[in-house]
Amino acid sequence: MMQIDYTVTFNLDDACLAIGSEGSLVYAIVDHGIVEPKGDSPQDWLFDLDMICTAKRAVRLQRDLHLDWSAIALVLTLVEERDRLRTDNQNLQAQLQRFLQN
Amino acid sequence: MEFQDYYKVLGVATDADLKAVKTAYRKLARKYHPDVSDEHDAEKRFKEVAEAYEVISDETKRAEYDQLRKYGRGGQPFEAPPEWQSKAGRKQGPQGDFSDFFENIFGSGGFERGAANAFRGNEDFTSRRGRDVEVELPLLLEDTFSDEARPIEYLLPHYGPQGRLADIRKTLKVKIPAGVIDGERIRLKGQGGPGFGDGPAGDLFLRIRLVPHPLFDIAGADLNIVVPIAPWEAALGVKLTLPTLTGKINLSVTANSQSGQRLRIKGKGMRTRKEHGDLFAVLKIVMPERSPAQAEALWQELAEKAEFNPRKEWESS
Repeated sequence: MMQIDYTVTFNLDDACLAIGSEGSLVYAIVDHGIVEPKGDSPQDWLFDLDMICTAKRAVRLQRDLHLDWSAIALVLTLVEERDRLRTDNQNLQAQLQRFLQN
Repeated sequence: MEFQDYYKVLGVATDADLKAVKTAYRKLARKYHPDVSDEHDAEKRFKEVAEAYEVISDETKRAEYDQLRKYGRGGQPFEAPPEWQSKAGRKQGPQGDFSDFFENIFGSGGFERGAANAFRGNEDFTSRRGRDVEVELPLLLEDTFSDEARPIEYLLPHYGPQGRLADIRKTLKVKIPAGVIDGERIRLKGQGGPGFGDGPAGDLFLRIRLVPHPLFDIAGADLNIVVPIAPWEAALGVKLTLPTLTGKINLSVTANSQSGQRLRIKGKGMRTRKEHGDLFAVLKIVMPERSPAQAEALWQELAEKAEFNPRKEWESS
Protein backbone atom coordinates (compact mmCIF):
# COMPACT_ATOMS: atom_id res chain seq x y z
CA MET A 1 0.00 0.00 0.00
CA MET A 2 1.35 3.42 -0.99
CA GLN A 3 1.21 6.10 1.67
CA ILE A 4 0.94 9.69 0.52
CA ASP A 5 2.51 12.61 2.30
CA TYR A 6 0.42 15.68 1.57
CA THR A 7 2.65 18.11 3.31
CA VAL A 8 5.48 17.33 0.91
CA THR A 9 7.73 20.33 0.32
CA PHE A 10 10.91 20.65 -1.67
CA ASN A 11 14.02 22.70 -0.89
CA LEU A 12 16.00 24.13 -3.82
CA ASP A 13 18.04 20.95 -4.41
CA ASP A 14 14.97 18.69 -4.30
CA ALA A 15 13.08 21.14 -6.52
CA CYS A 16 15.86 21.09 -9.15
CA LEU A 17 15.78 17.30 -9.11
CA ALA A 18 11.98 17.11 -9.31
CA ILE A 19 11.79 19.74 -12.06
CA GLY A 20 14.72 18.12 -13.85
CA SER A 21 16.42 21.45 -14.20
CA GLU A 22 19.49 23.39 -13.19
CA GLY A 23 19.44 25.91 -10.35
CA SER A 24 19.82 28.83 -12.75
CA LEU A 25 16.54 27.96 -14.48
CA VAL A 26 14.77 27.67 -11.13
CA TYR A 27 16.16 31.10 -10.13
CA ALA A 28 14.83 32.58 -13.38
CA ILE A 29 11.40 31.03 -12.78
CA VAL A 30 11.26 32.46 -9.25
CA ASP A 31 12.67 35.83 -10.42
CA HIS A 32 9.79 36.17 -12.88
CA GLY A 33 7.23 35.31 -10.23
CA ILE A 34 6.13 32.18 -12.11
CA VAL A 35 6.31 30.35 -8.81
CA GLU A 36 6.68 31.95 -5.40
CA PRO A 37 8.35 29.62 -2.94
CA LYS A 38 8.05 30.28 0.77
CA GLY A 39 11.20 31.65 2.41
CA ASP A 40 13.23 34.79 1.78
CA SER A 41 16.53 33.50 0.47
CA PRO A 42 17.27 30.59 -1.89
CA GLN A 43 18.61 28.42 0.94
CA ASP A 44 15.28 28.84 2.77
CA TRP A 45 13.07 28.36 -0.29
CA LEU A 46 10.33 25.76 0.05
CA PHE A 47 8.30 24.66 -2.97
CA ASP A 48 5.01 22.79 -2.82
CA LEU A 49 3.79 20.26 -5.38
CA ASP A 50 1.77 22.79 -7.39
CA MET A 51 4.83 25.00 -7.72
CA ILE A 52 6.90 22.06 -8.96
CA CYS A 53 4.25 21.23 -11.58
CA THR A 54 4.03 24.88 -12.70
CA ALA A 55 7.82 25.11 -12.94
CA LYS A 56 7.95 21.93 -15.03
CA ARG A 57 5.34 23.38 -17.33
CA ALA A 58 7.32 26.63 -17.62
CA VAL A 59 10.50 24.74 -18.52
CA ARG A 60 8.67 22.75 -21.22
CA LEU A 61 7.22 25.94 -22.72
CA GLN A 62 10.61 27.60 -22.78
CA ARG A 63 12.18 24.61 -24.50
CA ASP A 64 9.45 23.86 -27.02
CA LEU A 65 8.02 27.28 -27.88
CA HIS A 66 11.26 29.25 -27.58
CA LEU A 67 9.57 31.81 -25.30
CA ASP A 68 11.30 34.08 -22.83
CA TRP A 69 10.40 33.95 -19.15
CA SER A 70 8.17 37.05 -19.17
CA ALA A 71 6.13 35.58 -22.00
CA ILE A 72 5.91 32.25 -20.14
CA ALA A 73 4.70 34.02 -16.99
CA LEU A 74 2.00 35.72 -19.05
CA VAL A 75 1.03 32.51 -20.89
CA LEU A 76 0.72 30.57 -17.64
CA THR A 77 -1.39 33.29 -16.02
CA LEU A 78 -3.73 33.38 -19.01
CA VAL A 79 -3.92 29.60 -19.33
CA GLU A 80 -4.76 29.31 -15.63
CA GLU A 81 -7.44 31.95 -16.03
CA ARG A 82 -8.80 30.16 -19.11
CA ASP A 83 -8.93 26.84 -17.25
CA ARG A 84 -10.72 28.46 -14.32
CA LEU A 85 -13.27 30.14 -16.60
CA ARG A 86 -13.77 26.90 -18.50
CA THR A 87 -14.50 25.01 -15.28
CA ASP A 88 -16.89 27.74 -14.15
CA ASN A 89 -18.58 27.69 -17.53
CA GLN A 90 -18.96 23.90 -17.48
CA ASN A 91 -20.48 24.05 -14.00
CA LEU A 92 -22.91 26.80 -15.00
CA GLN A 93 -23.84 24.99 -18.20
CA ALA A 94 -24.50 21.80 -16.25
CA GLN A 95 -26.71 23.69 -13.83
CA LEU A 96 -28.53 25.50 -16.62
CA GLN A 97 -29.23 22.17 -18.31
CA ARG A 98 -30.79 20.85 -15.10
CA PHE A 99 -33.03 23.91 -15.14
CA LEU A 100 -33.99 23.70 -18.78
CA GLN A 101 -34.76 20.01 -18.97
CA ASN A 102 -37.95 18.65 -17.48
CA MET B 1 6.92 1.23 -40.08
CA GLU B 2 5.02 4.04 -41.68
CA PHE B 3 6.66 6.70 -43.79
CA GLN B 4 6.34 10.14 -42.18
CA ASP B 5 5.73 13.07 -44.49
CA TYR B 6 7.45 15.78 -42.47
CA TYR B 7 6.73 18.53 -44.98
CA LYS B 8 3.04 17.75 -44.80
CA VAL B 9 3.11 17.67 -40.99
CA LEU B 10 4.62 21.18 -40.95
CA GLY B 11 2.48 22.33 -43.86
CA VAL B 12 5.46 23.68 -45.82
CA ALA B 13 6.62 23.22 -49.39
CA THR B 14 9.50 20.81 -50.00
CA ASP B 15 11.69 23.76 -51.01
CA ALA B 16 10.70 25.95 -48.02
CA ASP B 17 13.62 27.87 -46.51
CA LEU B 18 14.62 27.61 -42.84
CA LYS B 19 12.76 30.79 -41.94
CA ALA B 20 9.48 29.43 -43.31
CA VAL B 21 10.08 26.10 -41.55
CA LYS B 22 10.69 27.88 -38.23
CA THR B 23 7.57 30.01 -38.62
CA ALA B 24 5.47 26.93 -39.44
CA TYR B 25 6.88 25.06 -36.43
CA ARG B 26 6.26 27.96 -34.04
CA LYS B 27 2.71 28.34 -35.22
CA LEU B 28 1.92 24.63 -34.89
CA ALA B 29 3.81 24.30 -31.60
CA ARG B 30 1.68 27.10 -30.12
CA LYS B 31 -1.44 25.38 -31.38
CA TYR B 32 -0.62 21.87 -30.17
CA HIS B 33 1.68 22.28 -27.18
CA PRO B 34 0.09 20.04 -24.54
CA ASP B 35 0.64 22.68 -21.85
CA VAL B 36 -1.51 25.28 -23.58
CA SER B 37 -3.56 23.48 -26.21
CA ASP B 38 -7.28 22.77 -26.24
CA GLU B 39 -7.07 20.16 -28.99
CA HIS B 40 -8.00 16.65 -27.90
CA ASP B 41 -5.02 15.00 -29.61
CA ALA B 42 -2.61 17.84 -28.79
CA GLU B 43 0.14 15.67 -27.35
CA LYS B 44 0.25 13.33 -30.34
CA ARG B 45 0.14 16.20 -32.83
CA PHE B 46 2.83 18.12 -30.98
CA LYS B 47 5.16 15.12 -31.04
CA GLU B 48 4.66 14.79 -34.80
CA VAL B 49 5.37 18.50 -35.29
CA ALA B 50 8.45 18.40 -33.06
CA GLU B 51 9.80 15.37 -34.88
CA ALA B 52 9.21 16.94 -38.28
CA TYR B 53 10.91 20.15 -37.14
CA GLU B 54 13.93 18.30 -35.79
CA VAL B 55 14.50 16.82 -39.24
CA ILE B 56 13.51 19.66 -41.56
CA SER B 57 15.31 22.37 -39.55
CA ASP B 58 18.60 20.48 -39.68
CA GLU B 59 20.44 20.75 -42.96
CA THR B 60 22.11 17.31 -42.85
CA LYS B 61 19.02 15.44 -41.69
CA ARG B 62 16.86 17.22 -44.21
CA ALA B 63 19.16 16.25 -47.05
CA GLU B 64 19.10 12.62 -45.92
CA TYR B 65 15.33 12.69 -45.52
CA ASP B 66 14.91 14.20 -48.99
CA GLN B 67 16.91 11.26 -50.37
CA LEU B 68 14.62 8.77 -48.61
CA ARG B 69 11.49 10.60 -49.66
CA LYS B 70 12.06 9.27 -53.14
CA TYR B 71 11.21 5.80 -51.78
CA GLY B 72 8.28 6.53 -49.49
CA ARG B 73 4.92 8.16 -49.20
CA GLY B 74 3.10 9.53 -46.13
CA GLY B 75 1.09 6.88 -44.26
CA GLN B 76 2.47 4.00 -46.36
CA PRO B 77 4.65 1.16 -45.03
CA PHE B 78 8.29 2.00 -45.48
CA GLU B 79 11.67 0.27 -45.21
CA ALA B 80 14.93 2.14 -45.44
CA PRO B 81 17.30 0.86 -48.12
CA PRO B 82 19.48 -1.92 -46.61
CA GLU B 83 22.73 0.04 -46.86
CA TRP B 84 21.18 3.10 -45.21
CA GLN B 85 23.34 4.79 -42.58
CA SER B 86 22.55 8.22 -41.21
CA LYS B 87 25.37 10.67 -40.61
CA ALA B 88 23.18 13.18 -38.86
CA GLY B 89 22.36 11.43 -35.56
CA ARG B 90 19.93 12.96 -33.21
CA LYS B 91 20.12 16.02 -31.07
CA GLN B 92 17.79 16.97 -28.29
CA GLY B 93 14.15 16.26 -28.98
CA PRO B 94 11.47 18.13 -27.07
CA GLN B 95 9.54 15.04 -26.05
CA GLY B 96 11.80 12.12 -26.67
CA ASP B 97 9.11 9.82 -28.07
CA PHE B 98 9.87 9.99 -31.74
CA SER B 99 8.32 7.59 -34.23
CA ASP B 100 9.80 4.24 -35.26
CA PHE B 101 10.38 5.85 -38.64
CA PHE B 102 12.61 8.50 -37.06
CA GLU B 103 14.46 6.01 -34.86
CA ASN B 104 15.09 3.80 -37.87
CA ILE B 105 16.35 6.55 -40.11
CA PHE B 106 18.35 8.67 -37.72
CA GLY B 107 19.03 6.09 -35.03
CA SER B 108 18.52 6.34 -31.30
CA GLY B 109 22.14 7.30 -30.64
CA GLY B 110 21.19 10.49 -28.88
CA PHE B 111 17.71 9.51 -27.84
CA GLU B 112 18.39 9.33 -24.16
CA ARG B 113 18.63 13.09 -23.86
CA GLY B 114 15.01 13.48 -24.72
CA ALA B 115 13.91 10.14 -23.40
CA ALA B 116 15.02 10.59 -19.87
CA ASN B 117 15.07 14.22 -19.18
CA ALA B 118 15.93 16.75 -21.79
CA PHE B 119 17.41 19.18 -19.28
CA ARG B 120 19.97 16.84 -17.89
CA GLY B 121 21.32 16.11 -21.32
CA ASN B 122 24.99 16.40 -20.42
CA GLU B 123 24.82 13.51 -17.97
CA ASP B 124 25.81 10.13 -19.06
CA PHE B 125 23.27 7.47 -19.93
CA THR B 126 24.32 5.15 -17.13
CA SER B 127 22.95 7.32 -14.32
CA ARG B 128 19.83 9.16 -15.19
CA ARG B 129 16.58 9.69 -13.35
CA GLY B 130 13.58 7.97 -14.91
CA ARG B 131 10.66 9.84 -16.41
CA ASP B 132 7.86 11.39 -14.42
CA VAL B 133 4.49 10.03 -15.44
CA GLU B 134 1.11 11.71 -15.00
CA VAL B 135 -2.06 9.63 -14.80
CA GLU B 136 -5.63 10.86 -14.42
CA LEU B 137 -7.58 9.33 -11.57
CA PRO B 138 -11.37 9.62 -11.93
CA LEU B 139 -13.11 9.81 -8.56
CA LEU B 140 -16.76 9.97 -7.58
CA LEU B 141 -17.74 12.85 -5.31
CA GLU B 142 -18.70 10.33 -2.65
CA ASP B 143 -15.18 8.89 -2.76
CA THR B 144 -13.68 12.16 -1.54
CA PHE B 145 -15.29 11.57 1.86
CA SER B 146 -13.35 8.44 2.67
CA ASP B 147 -9.74 7.42 2.30
CA GLU B 148 -10.23 3.97 0.92
CA ALA B 149 -7.40 2.23 -0.87
CA ARG B 150 -7.98 1.84 -4.57
CA PRO B 151 -6.05 0.03 -7.28
CA ILE B 152 -4.43 2.15 -9.98
CA GLU B 153 -3.15 0.71 -13.22
CA TYR B 154 -0.89 2.60 -15.59
CA LEU B 155 1.74 2.21 -18.29
CA LEU B 156 5.36 3.22 -17.85
CA PRO B 157 7.61 4.06 -20.78
CA HIS B 158 10.67 1.84 -20.77
CA TYR B 159 14.01 2.41 -22.45
CA GLY B 160 17.08 0.26 -22.88
CA PRO B 161 20.45 1.31 -24.31
CA GLN B 162 19.16 0.38 -27.77
CA GLY B 163 16.03 2.52 -27.66
CA ARG B 164 12.45 2.31 -26.55
CA LEU B 165 11.11 -1.03 -25.29
CA ALA B 166 7.53 -2.16 -24.68
CA ASP B 167 5.74 -0.18 -21.97
CA ILE B 168 5.59 -1.68 -18.49
CA ARG B 169 2.09 -2.23 -17.06
CA LYS B 170 2.05 -1.43 -13.37
CA THR B 171 -0.60 -1.75 -10.68
CA LEU B 172 -0.49 0.01 -7.32
CA LYS B 173 -2.85 0.16 -4.43
CA VAL B 174 -3.05 3.75 -3.24
CA LYS B 175 -4.89 5.25 -0.33
CA ILE B 176 -6.32 8.54 -1.61
CA PRO B 177 -6.90 10.63 1.52
CA ALA B 178 -10.29 12.23 2.04
CA GLY B 179 -10.71 15.84 0.94
CA VAL B 180 -9.03 15.81 -2.47
CA ILE B 181 -10.30 18.36 -5.00
CA ASP B 182 -10.67 18.36 -8.78
CA GLY B 183 -7.37 18.91 -10.60
CA GLU B 184 -5.28 18.21 -7.52
CA ARG B 185 -2.05 16.30 -8.07
CA ILE B 186 -0.73 13.60 -5.81
CA ARG B 187 2.90 12.58 -6.10
CA LEU B 188 4.04 9.03 -5.58
CA LYS B 189 7.77 9.21 -5.31
CA GLY B 190 9.76 6.70 -7.33
CA GLN B 191 6.70 5.12 -8.99
CA GLY B 192 7.31 6.70 -12.40
CA GLY B 193 9.55 5.48 -15.22
CA PRO B 194 12.49 3.29 -14.21
CA GLY B 195 15.85 5.06 -13.90
CA PHE B 196 18.57 4.60 -16.45
CA GLY B 197 21.49 2.61 -15.15
CA ASP B 198 21.99 3.57 -11.51
CA GLY B 199 19.63 6.56 -11.78
CA PRO B 200 16.58 6.73 -9.50
CA ALA B 201 13.07 6.09 -10.84
CA GLY B 202 10.89 9.06 -11.79
CA ASP B 203 7.73 9.98 -9.92
CA LEU B 204 4.10 9.17 -10.59
CA PHE B 205 1.67 12.09 -10.48
CA LEU B 206 -1.98 11.22 -10.01
CA ARG B 207 -4.27 13.97 -11.21
CA ILE B 208 -7.67 13.87 -9.53
CA ARG B 209 -10.65 14.23 -11.88
CA LEU B 210 -14.00 14.40 -10.15
CA VAL B 211 -16.60 12.62 -12.24
CA PRO B 212 -19.78 14.67 -12.93
CA HIS B 213 -22.46 13.66 -10.45
CA PRO B 214 -26.05 12.88 -11.50
CA LEU B 215 -27.44 15.20 -8.77
CA PHE B 216 -24.78 17.60 -7.53
CA ASP B 217 -22.77 20.31 -9.30
CA ILE B 218 -19.52 21.53 -7.79
CA ALA B 219 -18.88 25.24 -7.22
CA GLY B 220 -15.57 25.54 -5.39
CA ALA B 221 -16.11 23.74 -2.07
CA ASP B 222 -19.88 24.19 -2.34
CA LEU B 223 -22.37 21.91 -4.06
CA ASN B 224 -25.58 22.80 -5.86
CA ILE B 225 -28.60 20.55 -6.21
CA VAL B 226 -31.65 21.51 -8.25
CA VAL B 227 -34.85 20.72 -6.32
CA PRO B 228 -37.95 20.31 -8.51
CA ILE B 229 -41.15 21.50 -6.77
CA ALA B 230 -44.78 21.76 -7.91
CA PRO B 231 -46.31 25.25 -8.31
CA TRP B 232 -48.61 24.68 -5.32
CA GLU B 233 -45.58 23.58 -3.22
CA ALA B 234 -43.92 26.87 -4.13
CA ALA B 235 -47.08 28.73 -3.17
CA LEU B 236 -47.91 26.93 0.06
CA GLY B 237 -44.50 25.70 1.19
CA VAL B 238 -43.45 22.07 1.56
CA LYS B 239 -41.36 19.81 3.74
CA LEU B 240 -39.30 17.44 1.61
CA THR B 241 -36.46 14.94 1.90
CA LEU B 242 -33.26 16.15 0.28
CA PRO B 243 -30.41 13.84 -0.75
CA THR B 244 -26.92 14.96 0.32
CA LEU B 245 -23.56 13.27 -0.16
CA THR B 246 -23.77 11.91 3.38
CA GLY B 247 -27.40 10.79 3.49
CA LYS B 248 -30.88 12.29 3.38
CA ILE B 249 -32.01 15.33 5.37
CA ASN B 250 -35.29 17.18 5.82
CA LEU B 251 -35.71 20.52 4.04
CA SER B 252 -38.48 23.07 4.57
CA VAL B 253 -39.41 25.22 1.60
CA THR B 254 -41.28 28.32 2.80
CA ALA B 255 -44.53 29.57 1.25
CA ASN B 256 -44.25 31.87 -1.78
CA SER B 257 -40.83 30.57 -2.85
CA GLN B 258 -39.47 31.56 -6.25
CA SER B 259 -37.94 29.47 -9.00
CA GLY B 260 -34.13 29.77 -8.81
CA GLN B 261 -34.20 30.61 -5.11
CA ARG B 262 -31.21 29.12 -3.26
CA LEU B 263 -31.51 27.56 0.18
CA ARG B 264 -28.23 27.08 2.03
CA ILE B 265 -27.57 23.93 3.99
CA LYS B 266 -24.45 24.61 6.00
CA GLY B 267 -21.59 22.12 5.99
CA LYS B 268 -23.18 19.66 3.55
CA GLY B 269 -20.96 20.51 0.59
CA MET B 270 -17.50 19.18 -0.25
CA ARG B 271 -15.12 18.39 2.55
CA THR B 272 -11.72 19.55 1.36
CA ARG B 273 -8.69 19.63 3.60
CA LYS B 274 -9.05 23.42 3.85
CA GLU B 275 -12.79 23.85 4.37
CA HIS B 276 -16.21 22.28 4.61
CA GLY B 277 -18.40 23.69 1.88
CA ASP B 278 -22.16 24.21 1.93
CA LEU B 279 -24.93 22.60 -0.09
CA PHE B 280 -27.27 24.93 -1.97
CA ALA B 281 -30.74 23.67 -2.85
CA VAL B 282 -31.88 25.58 -5.94
CA LEU B 283 -35.64 25.54 -6.39
CA LYS B 284 -37.10 24.78 -9.81
CA ILE B 285 -40.86 25.06 -10.24
CA VAL B 286 -42.10 22.25 -12.47
CA MET B 287 -45.52 22.02 -14.13
CA PRO B 288 -47.21 18.65 -14.57
CA GLU B 289 -47.30 17.68 -18.26
CA ARG B 290 -51.07 17.30 -18.17
CA SER B 291 -53.64 18.23 -15.54
CA PRO B 292 -56.86 16.30 -14.91
CA ALA B 293 -60.05 18.24 -15.72
CA GLN B 294 -60.70 18.91 -12.05
CA ALA B 295 -57.26 20.47 -11.60
CA GLU B 296 -57.76 22.49 -14.77
CA ALA B 297 -60.89 23.98 -13.26
CA LEU B 298 -58.96 24.91 -10.13
CA TRP B 299 -56.22 26.58 -12.20
CA GLN B 300 -58.97 28.49 -13.99
CA GLU B 301 -60.40 29.62 -10.70
CA LEU B 302 -56.96 30.64 -9.51
CA ALA B 303 -56.36 32.65 -12.68
CA GLU B 304 -59.53 34.60 -12.03
CA LYS B 305 -58.95 35.19 -8.33
CA ALA B 306 -55.19 35.73 -8.07
CA GLU B 307 -54.47 39.36 -8.79
CA PHE B 308 -50.98 38.88 -10.12
CA ASN B 309 -49.29 40.20 -13.23
CA PRO B 310 -45.83 38.60 -13.65
CA ARG B 311 -45.00 41.09 -16.47
CA LYS B 312 -45.72 44.24 -14.57
CA GLU B 313 -42.23 45.59 -15.23
CA TRP B 314 -42.91 45.67 -18.97
CA GLU B 315 -45.80 48.06 -18.55
CA SER B 316 -43.67 51.04 -17.54
CA SER B 317 -41.41 50.70 -20.60
